[in-house]
Order: sequence, then structure tokens, then C-alpha cells
Amino acid sequence: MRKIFSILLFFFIFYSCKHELENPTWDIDTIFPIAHSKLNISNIVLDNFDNVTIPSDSLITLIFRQDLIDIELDSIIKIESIADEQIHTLDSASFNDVIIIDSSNIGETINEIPFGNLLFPNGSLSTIPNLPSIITNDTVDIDASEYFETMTLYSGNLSLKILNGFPTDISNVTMSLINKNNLSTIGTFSFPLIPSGSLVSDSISVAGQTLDENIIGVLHNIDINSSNGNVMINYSDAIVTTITLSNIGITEATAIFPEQQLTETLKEHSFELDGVQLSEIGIKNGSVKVNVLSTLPNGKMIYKIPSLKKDGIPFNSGEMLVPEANSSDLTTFDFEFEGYTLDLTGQQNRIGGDTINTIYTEAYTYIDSTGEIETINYLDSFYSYIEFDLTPEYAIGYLGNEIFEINDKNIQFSIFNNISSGTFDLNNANMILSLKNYIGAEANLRFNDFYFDNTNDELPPTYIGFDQHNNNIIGHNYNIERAYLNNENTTITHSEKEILFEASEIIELFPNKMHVDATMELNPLGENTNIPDFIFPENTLEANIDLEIPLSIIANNLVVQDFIEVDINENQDYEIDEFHITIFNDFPLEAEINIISLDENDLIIDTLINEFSILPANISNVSQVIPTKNTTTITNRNFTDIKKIKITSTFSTPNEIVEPVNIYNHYEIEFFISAKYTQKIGEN
Amino acid sequence: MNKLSLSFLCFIYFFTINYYSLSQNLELKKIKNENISFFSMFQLESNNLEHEFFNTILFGGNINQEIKNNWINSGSQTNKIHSNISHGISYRFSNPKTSFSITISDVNHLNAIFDDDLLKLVFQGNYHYQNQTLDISNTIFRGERFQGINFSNFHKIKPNIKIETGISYLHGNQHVSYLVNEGTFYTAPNGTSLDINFDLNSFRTNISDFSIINTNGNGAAINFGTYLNNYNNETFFFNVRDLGFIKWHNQSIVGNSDTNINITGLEIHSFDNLMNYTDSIEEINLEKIYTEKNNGFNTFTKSNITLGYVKNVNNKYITNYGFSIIYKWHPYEFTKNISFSLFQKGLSESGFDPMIKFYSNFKYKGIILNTGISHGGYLDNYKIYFILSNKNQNISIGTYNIEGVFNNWKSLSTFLNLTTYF
Repeated sequence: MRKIFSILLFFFIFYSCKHELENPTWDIDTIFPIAHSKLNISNIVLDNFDNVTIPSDSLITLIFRQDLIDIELDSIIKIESIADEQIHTLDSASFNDVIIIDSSNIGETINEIPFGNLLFPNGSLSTIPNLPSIITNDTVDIDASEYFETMTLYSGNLSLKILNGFPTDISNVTMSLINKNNLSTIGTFSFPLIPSGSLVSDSISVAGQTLDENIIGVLHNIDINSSNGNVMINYSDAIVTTITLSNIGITEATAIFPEQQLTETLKEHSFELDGVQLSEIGIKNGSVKVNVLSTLPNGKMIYKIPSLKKDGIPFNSGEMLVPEANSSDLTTFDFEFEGYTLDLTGQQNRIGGDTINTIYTEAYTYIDSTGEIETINYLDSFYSYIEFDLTPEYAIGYLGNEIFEINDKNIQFSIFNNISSGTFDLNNANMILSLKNYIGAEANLRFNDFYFDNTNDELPPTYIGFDQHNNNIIGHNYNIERAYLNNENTTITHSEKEILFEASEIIELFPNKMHVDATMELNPLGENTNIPDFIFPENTLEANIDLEIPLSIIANNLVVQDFIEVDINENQDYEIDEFHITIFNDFPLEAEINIISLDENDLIIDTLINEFSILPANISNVSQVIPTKNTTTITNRNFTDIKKIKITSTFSTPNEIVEPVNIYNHYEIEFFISAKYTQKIGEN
Repeated sequence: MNKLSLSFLCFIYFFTINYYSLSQNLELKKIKNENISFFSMFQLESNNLEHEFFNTILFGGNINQEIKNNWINSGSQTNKIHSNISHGISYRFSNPKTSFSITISDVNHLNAIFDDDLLKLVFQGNYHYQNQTLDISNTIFRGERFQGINFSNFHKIKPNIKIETGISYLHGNQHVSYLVNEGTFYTAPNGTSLDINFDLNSFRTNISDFSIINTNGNGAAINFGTYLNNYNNETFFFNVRDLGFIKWHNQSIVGNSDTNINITGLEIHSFDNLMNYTDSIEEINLEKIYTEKNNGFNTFTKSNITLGYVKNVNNKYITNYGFSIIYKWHPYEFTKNISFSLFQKGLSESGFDPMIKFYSNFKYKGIILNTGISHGGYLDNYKIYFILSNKNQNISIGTYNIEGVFNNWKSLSTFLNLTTYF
């Protein structure tokens, strides 16, 4: 017991001394590179300039290009029209003749005579006596249901043909056709004598009558005349009656209508293009919409444009089945025409020769056969029109004597926006007005007004001055020759005219606005009959102004300002204490940099860097550059609300330099940004 | 009185024992046939770092600049830390010819060697060391915990020769080792760039669960030795203990890095879109320079090799005296190719210089004093140990590093042995 107690006491004391382990905490100060960059003048200025040229001597030239004139020429060749409006009513429809044939043979007639079969056996030679009124008031059912149920006609001829196949003459033949439903008489036919083997016929107009599918033919009388001697009795000899309904014009009909063409319209459509005369266009995109409204239960249309081809195959809409209209809404069939070529010279082999601005089309309308009974009337119609909306990729023809005005156009000139004050002196600077004509027509350009201005100062604008030929650029007519197409019509050889002028004074103004007023005339000398004009709307007339500034400058407190969006999300694990900025400068310029931080409302939060001086590099000659190292530290700043920083840099060439200094491409500015932050270690 | 000192005194007064003395002396004692012993040992040694360091690291608190400076500037450039915490319970049966024992123990040991530059980097950061290279090459950190059950036998094969044999099953609990072969960290002035050169191998188990029952591996170890008595109360002995291995599970994590990188931050080509600066900080993450994957690995156990001499004397105050030379064999990495070079490698990579120990047992009025002086070991310095027992040796208490009293507790150790005889 004592031992057990001792052991328990031991364990109790042992575990009472056990202390829970805990994490210690401490701070560490870390400095960490955040960013670095090595920038030459190309990297620095390319945000504003388009290019930097580096000639063999490495003295670099800044190049800036600004679009000057942008003339929209699509509209002059765009085909946008409605054409080929047609209305087809049913009275223009034609229907096939209805033909019903009936026959009555002599065997049947002899059967009607008492002992006729004994007296006139089949195949015998007998003398037929005079048999008056051998048939009286006999009826024959004529079934026309194969063709129609009812048919009310505004025109039509009903003809009756009787072929007398009996071996003797028949006479006093009288026959009537009667609608079975209402027993109205359609017509009565009389034939006094029908010699054996002869055909007689008669016809009457049935205009205004309504025909049923079931018609009764009433044979009022037939007399058989006596034969002249014995004649061969052949029971199959017959009188054949043919009833023909022709020239059918339907007011209303319920019938199974056969497929039939209603209309055929072969037509040229001319488009008015304000003096532009086109013979061909290549279609970049566009559509032809066939809009149809049909009250017919089974309308159909086919539309063809033989002059609209792709890969040599003319456009054919194929069969467009038009549903019966329940309202005035049209059914539209839309056909896209990307990549097609449209010949605008009219119908092939047209009388009078080729024309211009003309599309030849073929339209066909049909009543389609559905195989079912339909009811149509003469008021049923077929209405259609065509919409052309074609955007050309190119056009060939005569583009007309068009005049385009560029009225008082103000162009923002942005490259000096960041310079807020100071001056600099340039050795020289050139501007080149570059005019490129991609149109297959001559153009004439005249500047009515052209000046540069810095709207932030109160100085007057500077006008453009004289060109390299000592012409006053304003008011001078600059003729720009036409462009040419290669043989495959795929490549344009453009013409170009350059207007060069000295621009140092303009540049030293730091202009932010360019004002242009100009007139461009197409085909100033009229149509060139030797070669057709052409135009590709995406490539017309290009007018740019190129600025070339060789970087040989004297800078006098040139203040450049820039705003940079930043997004500093401080990580709570890191407490940034300091930012260290280290700059190695190769440039022969001294600078003073001020950076202030702004919040989302552009309100100043703090001055991050105040008058950070960057010394110019020591340059003994072009190839020996000793960069200066410049450092500054941003301390004890709250970075959390910073949304933007404003950098103001003031550049100057050192005072002892009186001649412009050259800026070479191998000059670099290398900077490093590092952050010192304190991190708490060990906290959960 | 700080927490570490409080804990230390708890050990001093209640549970200290010299484990090594125990294992040797028990063998030489012939008091009764059976006994059960509980033993506990705590040892924490450092050549530079004082107890304040360990107290803060283990039990928390804020490490201010003064403390950092003290740690960094104390002693030599290279810091060595060794710690061993072991507890166990043992049953022993013996008769004049043989003895047999079963021991269940929990063993924790830690061994670290690192330069002051690592302390600078970890506790100060690189800001204060611009334009300097901090060198953390040859940094070693090894920590391990396992439990073992050992079966040992001492058998007299002749009246003057005794053979020791033993086998242990080892329950691998935790293992962490980081071996930095080469590591330099250069910070350019103003932090414009960092140069990091890093060659590191790491092996660790999942250390999210420190429970003693958490099984992360299994292994085995053996003991063997011989004791030769020359009939002149002199005994020469040689033994090897805990020679074995642990196979750690496949869920363990093996990492490595052989990186030489230069960091200058994000390269900017335009000022219009300055990046979020944290992008740059996140640009360097450990995944880019250090990769880890789940994989099993094997480690050798830290084994002891002892050569010794002891002489029993029939003196009123002195019962015996002797000396021993102790080696430790503990290679960094496991290999199946057993060779002499592996033996040499294990000795050198253990970080343990051969330790020579002189000791003696004194008795006076029912108290036995076991004391000695040693040189070598993990810290390669002089150590004095001092253990008091009652005459029946039911209780033994003492310290292995009494010199800690004089070196501001850079060395602390406690020993306790409680034995019941049947």
C-alpha cells in the first residue's frame, strides 16, 4: 500500500510540474525587392510616341504619327434599295382544259330494239332501217370530280364533240349538260345530221356559270337513219362524245390544282448613285431579302440574279414555299451575299449594249401542287418585293466628281500632355504631311485652314507655314494621283504625296490641339475613259501627320507630370515601413522628382517623395558613361487608401551645358524599388 | 523565477537520475534478485544559448531586440543544442549467473547545430544585414521521439566473463530533420536584390499530432556487449546499445531544395500599371525553391558505443572508480550498404565528439555519491555529474551537468531513479 501510494504521489507531482508549451513572438525586419526596371529612351517615350529610330550614330529620333483626315466613302457606292414590287392576282392564272369523254356503242343500241340481237347479229351484214328517236331523254353521268368540286367561271368554253362511229347516219341529235346538284342547265347542243364516221362539234360560253363535279348529260333525241343497203354490224362501233371545258377563268374554284406558273418577271433594276456609275462591285457583306405575301394556300416563288455570282455560279434562291397569309405580315426570305461579285451592266447580251448601276433579275411565281383540294378565288393574290442591302468590298466604274468637305476639324494632340511647364530648345524638328491615295481615281486636296495651338497658354496658334517647295500649305491644291490595281485585282499600288515643313517652333509650343479645314475633290478632271475607277472603302485616302524630333535638346526646368493608377492592398501580415528607391542614371539630365499620393477622389493624401534629386550621369564621351546612384526612402506612410500617385518630374540639362545634348539609345535609367516591412512571427 | 527554471527544479528535486550510471551500476550491484525501477532523465545543453533562450522558445513570450542581441552575440559563431528527455520503467530479475530485464521507455532527443547567421535571419530579418552574406551552411536540426520495449540479458559465460544481449521494438512517434548542406542569403544594399543559395534536405513526419500513441513508424534495435573481470576487482567492458533503425510511414514528408536564385522583384516595362507590391512578395514563395512530397523514409537510431574500465575497491569511503569512452553513431541518412565508411560517417554525423568520463562511487553514513567528470560529447566541453543515493539505492537523484551552475545554465540536466527490490 505504501509503495502504491508512493507511486501515485510520484505521478501526481510529476504532471503537476508540466507546463504547457506556447509560441514565442518576435518581429523581424525584412527588406525585399519589389520591382526593377532598366529603361532606355525607347521604353520611356513609347507610351506617347509611336516609334523611335536609331540611326547608325545612335542619336535617336522620336517619331509620332497622328491621323489627320478620315473620309468615309462607303456611302457613295452602297446599294440600298427596294425593287421589283409585284402583285399577281389569280385572274392571271391559267388552268388546264377539262376533258371528259363518253361513248355509246351500237351493241347497246341494238339491245334496245325488240329482237334486235336476232335481227342484227354482231358481224352480220344487214340493212339498218330508219329508226327515229331510237334514244330519247337518255341520261349520262359525267364525273368531273377528278378535276374540281365546284368551279365558278368568269370565262370558259364548253365544247361538245360527237364522233359517229355507227355504220349509218344519225340525225336530230339534241343534248343538254345539267349540274346535278341544282339541275341548272349549263348548255344545250343540237346536231341535225351526223354522217357515219364523221365528227361534229359545237361550243358555248360558260362564263358566269358554276359547274359541279357531277354533271348530267341528257341526250334528248337521236334518230338513226336507214342504211343505204347492207352494212356490217359491229357491236363495238360507237358514238364517242367528248366534252371539253377550256379557256378556264376562275372566279372561285374548289379543286385539286395542278402546279402551274403564275408569273415570270425578267427585269432590270437601276440604282441611282448620285453620279457614280458602277459596272461591278465585290460584295463585302449584305443581303437580298425577298418579301412575299400570298393569300394562296400554296404559293411558291423562285428568284434568280444571274449577274450575282460566287465562284462563277449565279445566285438562285431555289423554291421558296410561301405560307398562306393570315395577316398582312410578309414572309421574308433572306439571302446573305458575302464574297459575291455583282455585275451591274444589266442583262447579258442586252439590246443596246452594257449599261451601269443595273441589276438583272428573274422572278417566277407558282401555285404549287399540294395534291389536295383547295379553294381559291380570283381575289387571291401574290405580292412580293425585293430589298437589296449590299456593302461593297470594292467597286469598279466611274466614281463621279465628288467633293468632300473636312470642316473645322479639331484633333487632340496628346504627346505633350504630360508637360506642364518649362521650355526646351530643339535643334530641329520636322513634320511631314503624308497623303496616300488608295482610290483608283485622282484626288485634289486643299487645306483651307491648318494650325497648332496650346490651349493652356494665351499665346495665339501657330499656322502650318510653307512646304518644301515654298508653297503656302494653306490654299494650295495638292493633286494626288490615282492608285492602280494589279492584274488579279488583289493588290493596290497607292500613290503618295508628302508635304514637308519645319516644325521646331510648333513643337516648342507643346501643342495640344491641331485644327484642320480641308476640301477633297475626287476626279477633278472628270471621267477617265481609258481606265475605270475603283475604290475599296476600307482603303481610301490616308492623311497623316508625322512628327520627327531628333533628341538633341536643352531642357530648362521641363516639368513632366503623370498620374499612375495603383492598387496597394496592404497585407496584414506585412507592415510596410519603408519603400527604398534606388536609381542609376545614365542620362545627361538632372531631375527632381516629387510624388504625391491621391485617394479615389483625387484628394491629396500625402507627399511620398519630396524633391528627390537625380544627378546627371558623368559623360566624358558617347561611349563612356558613369551613371549616378541616387537613393531615397519613403518612410512612415499610410499606403492603404492610395489609388493614384502623381509624379512630377522636372528635367534640366546641367547649367554648364549650353549646346543641346544628344540622347542616345544606350543611355539607360535603372531603378529598383524595395520595401522594408516588419513581420510579426509566432502570432496565430 | 521563470518557467523553465521552475520546471527544472521540479526535476531536480523529485525525478532526477543519471541514466548512464544507472544502467552501469545496476549491473554491478548485487542487492536482491528482483527489482522494478522507474527512471527519468532530462538533459538540455547548449554551448552558447542560455536558459532564457529555451525558456522563451518553449514557453512563449515576446523576444525583444535585447534578447535577440544577447542570443546572437553570445559565445561562438556556431551554436549547438542537445536535448534528451527519457522516461522509463524497468523490471529486472537476476541470479548469480544471469540477469534478465524488460524496459519500457519514452525517448525524446533533439540535436541542432547552426550558425549565428541563422539566428540573425530568423530573429532579425535581412534588413539589418544589407550588403552582407548570411551563411547558414551546415545547419543541422534533428529531433525524434519514439517509444521502445527492450528485452536484455546479462549472462555469465565464465566466472569472469559476462555477455550482454538485447533487442528492442521501437514505436516511431515523431521525426524531424533538416540538413542544410549549403545555404547563403545575400541582401544587396537597399534591398535591390537578394541572392539565395540553398541546398537542403528534410525528412519529417506529420507533426500535427504530438500524441504519444500516434504511430508514424516502426523499427528495431539491438544491444550487445561483454564484461571481463580479471579477478582483481577490475572490469573491462564494451557495449553497443540502441543500434537499430526506424522505418517511417509513407505519409511522411520528404523535402529538398537545391536552388540558387537571384530576386530583383517584378520587372516593369511601363509605369502605367504598377503592380500590387504584395505580388512581388508573393513572387518568392517556398514552393519555388523548396519542394516536398509524401514519401516514406528510414532513419538509423542514435546508438551508444562504450568502452570502459571500473575497479571495485575495499575502502571505507570509496567503493569503486573507473573511466569510460563513449561514442555515438548516428548517420544523417539511412543506407542499406553497411561499410566501414558508414561506420565512420555515423560517428562524424552524430555531432558527438568521443566523450571521456572518469567517475567514482563514494559512501558515507548511508549515502552513496556517484560523481564524475567528462569531456567531449555534443558540446565538446567539460561536464561534471553528481548523483546521490541512499545506501539501498532505492532512490537516486542528481544532475549530469553541474557545471551549468557556473555557465548561466547553458547546460541543464536532472536524473531520477526509483527502485523497489523484492
